Amino acid sequence: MIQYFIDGLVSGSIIALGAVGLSIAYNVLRFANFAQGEILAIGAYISMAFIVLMGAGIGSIGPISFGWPLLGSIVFSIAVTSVIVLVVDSVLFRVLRERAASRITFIIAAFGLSLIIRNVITLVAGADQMFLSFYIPRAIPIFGDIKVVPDDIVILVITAICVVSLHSFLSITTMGKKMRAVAENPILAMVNGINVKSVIRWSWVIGASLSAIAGTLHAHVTQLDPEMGFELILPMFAALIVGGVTNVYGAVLGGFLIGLTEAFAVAADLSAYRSAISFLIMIVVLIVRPQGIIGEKERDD
Amino acid sequence: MIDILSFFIFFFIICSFYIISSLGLNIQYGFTGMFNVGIAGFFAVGAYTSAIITGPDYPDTMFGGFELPILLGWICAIVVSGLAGVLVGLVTLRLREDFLAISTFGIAISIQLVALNAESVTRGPNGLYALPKPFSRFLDSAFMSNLCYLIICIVTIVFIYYALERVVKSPWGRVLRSIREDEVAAEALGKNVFLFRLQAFVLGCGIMGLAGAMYANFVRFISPQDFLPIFTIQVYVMLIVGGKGNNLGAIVGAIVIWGLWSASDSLINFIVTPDYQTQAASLRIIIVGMVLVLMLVFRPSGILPEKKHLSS
Amino acid sequence: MLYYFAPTVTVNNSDPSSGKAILQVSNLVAGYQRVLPIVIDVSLEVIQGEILTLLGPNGAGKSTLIKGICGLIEVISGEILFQGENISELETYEIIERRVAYVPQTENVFAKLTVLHNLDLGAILNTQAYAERLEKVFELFPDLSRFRDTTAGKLSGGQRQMLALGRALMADPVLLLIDEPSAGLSPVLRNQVFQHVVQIRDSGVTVVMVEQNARAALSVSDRGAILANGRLRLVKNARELLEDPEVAEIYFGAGSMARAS
Repeated sequence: MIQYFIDGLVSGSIIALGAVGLSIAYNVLRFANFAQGEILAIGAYISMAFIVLMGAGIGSIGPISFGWPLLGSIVFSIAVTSVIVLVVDSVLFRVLRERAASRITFIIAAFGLSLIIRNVITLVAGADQMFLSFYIPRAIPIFGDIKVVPDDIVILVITAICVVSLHSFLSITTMGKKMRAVAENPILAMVNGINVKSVIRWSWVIGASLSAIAGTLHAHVTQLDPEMGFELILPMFAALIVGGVTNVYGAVLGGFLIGLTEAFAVAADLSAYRSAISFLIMIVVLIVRPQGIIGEKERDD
Repeated sequence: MIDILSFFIFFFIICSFYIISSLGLNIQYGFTGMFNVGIAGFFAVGAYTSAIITGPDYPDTMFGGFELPILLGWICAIVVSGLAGVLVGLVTLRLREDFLAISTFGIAISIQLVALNAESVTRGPNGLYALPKPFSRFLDSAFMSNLCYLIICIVTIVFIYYALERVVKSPWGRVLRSIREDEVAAEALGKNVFLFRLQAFVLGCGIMGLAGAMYANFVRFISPQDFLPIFTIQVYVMLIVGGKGNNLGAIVGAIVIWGLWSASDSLINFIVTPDYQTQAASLRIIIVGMVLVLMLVFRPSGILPEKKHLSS
Repeated sequence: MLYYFAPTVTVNNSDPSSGKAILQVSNLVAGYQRVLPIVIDVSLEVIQGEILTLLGPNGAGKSTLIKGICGLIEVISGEILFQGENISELETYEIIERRVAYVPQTENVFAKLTVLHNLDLGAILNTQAYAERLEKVFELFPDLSRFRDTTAGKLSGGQRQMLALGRALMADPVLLLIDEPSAGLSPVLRNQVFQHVVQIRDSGVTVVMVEQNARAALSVSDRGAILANGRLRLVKNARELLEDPEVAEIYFGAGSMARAS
């Protein structure tokens, strides 16, 4: 039972990190980015590319089934994914922004984009699943009878570091404050002297970086699959909505909740329906408490 | 000669299913501004309904196989899809556009999951086979049978087109458009916005269900793999390229995009060796995706922009 | 019909005893879309240290003019010189960086953030001497100090207006553009706002404000400029405008009718 709980936390971490990217896009860029799942996929595949190029394998550190090469690949992936995301924004979304396109247009564009990305990955890397690394779920005893898989602990630690860093960034740094101002009221932020275009670029990069990390971790725990973006987007949206759309920490909370829900669905032998269960919870929240657990009521703008 | 004709007949039959779905989407998205991302789901509901009603009794299903007439199957498909539309609409239509998108997206995925797992009804991934085709008892050759089917499709499309044109120009249609343009103003005028949107939504879903049923009884075998999100995106590309808010645009867009899709299919089969078939298939999808994105950027109103209906 | 009586007036109607121009608008055409200009061929000078009020009926283009100055609206043609530099092609944040501040009419505070946070953001471009400027703002608006940890959305209309002005002042501006500061306020609060505007000017800031309450605004201004249908009709010394019977009849007659209704 504990193992299911921890599995839930692990998959929850991945969903949480992805959902944060979604939340930033939603609050700062003001649209539901259906292509966010594909950004995780890009992150994972770029990591794979790095590892293949380096040729040094995954390595291992002590009882952990991955080593410095994987961490190095994450850093590389963050850099490359950020660049890709900025290029896409500059070519597509910026044009739509300048034209003051409707929210739906952005969403349709994101859909088209996700289709393109998913198939470019298939084109380049093939449709088969691949193994990034070998996640060995060998549990090691820590206290008495309690056994934990070391990889899981590392993943949770990485996620915790990401969340704390994000929090520091948003509350302490100037760019973080600017991002929050833009999320609240972009025109007033401009009038305040904030360079909104720069904030937008930073938002994309932060979202992409966290997604690259999440994607790589997901590929480590499961495997690389061109469909992985598509499989993750619904849980990510569910996490966003359940936790609270207006609040970036809501995405984190929601991520863990959805991860745990899906883990318990597997435990209850309902594995096939687990996305449907997350989705059901999302719908219930949308009807009963649309602002989510820690979100605030939004004004319709 | 017959071969080429056969090919075109087949092409237009499949195209018809897209045309009808496009027309259904036009009511929801083009005229009322509702962003329904669950088209594949309602199409699937129609297809499975007709399959269950008209299909033979399979040994491994507990429900279905009524072997009833095809027309009845299609009518049931419209009704059941419409009912699904009511259910979904009641739950989701009060939501804002992006939440509506997420919800309908999830619903389509859920419907596909049910199709995949409710094996006692849908036979899961094995699908439902040996579905009857209209007039197949009377016609021997595949060519004649298809030609007959094409005629059925064209008649249906013409009927739906003219019916929708009437609807759109009617007072009801005007209210829909006013809701799309300014919901608050429509509310202020005393219109029950939610009810109108629900009606439009259900109408669209019913039409999509019909398309699904017609699909099922033509290809005679359906499985959950036939109802993937790519279908939803294809229909959106068709409507956006053709011109949303314009019924003729929906038809034109479907023909253009299906033409592009089929042509690229043939071209790729011709050029690419079997080893690279899957990757070639990806290229096709990429091209369609790019058409969508380019259209959104450069000509969002589509080939045939919406006609300005003069209010009386 | 009332407003077509004068041809477009151009520059140099300034008070002879005044100083130099801090802002020079020349033949400005601006609007939300190229094909639909709202401000049409406006030329105007703003003298350093003055309070200039823009007046005119609804839709005259007053708000659009100041939005054009701070870059929120596209400049279709014409030139805007601020302290000698052409700012008509600059982005809003670049103009704000040059110490121009703008207070919009609505949504002029970050409603979900606290008062202190709002003021904080006002200083985000220039954190030097933050403490001193905060002190000055609190001196000018004691209420803000008392409510510094309250969420801005919970403030009353008058307090929110003070916060909006305070936020703009945190950036230590040279030129302050205000869009209808007295909108939605009771006469008592309205006068308070105008007194604040005078205090702000006395501390060295040049003020341009758009106002509907013509009489009250002119009574604290140095000059008034009247716009109608996107064009500049008249620029005169404020007292002369107040005392001119013809102008009074046309503009304040209409204004007081509006206020009465």
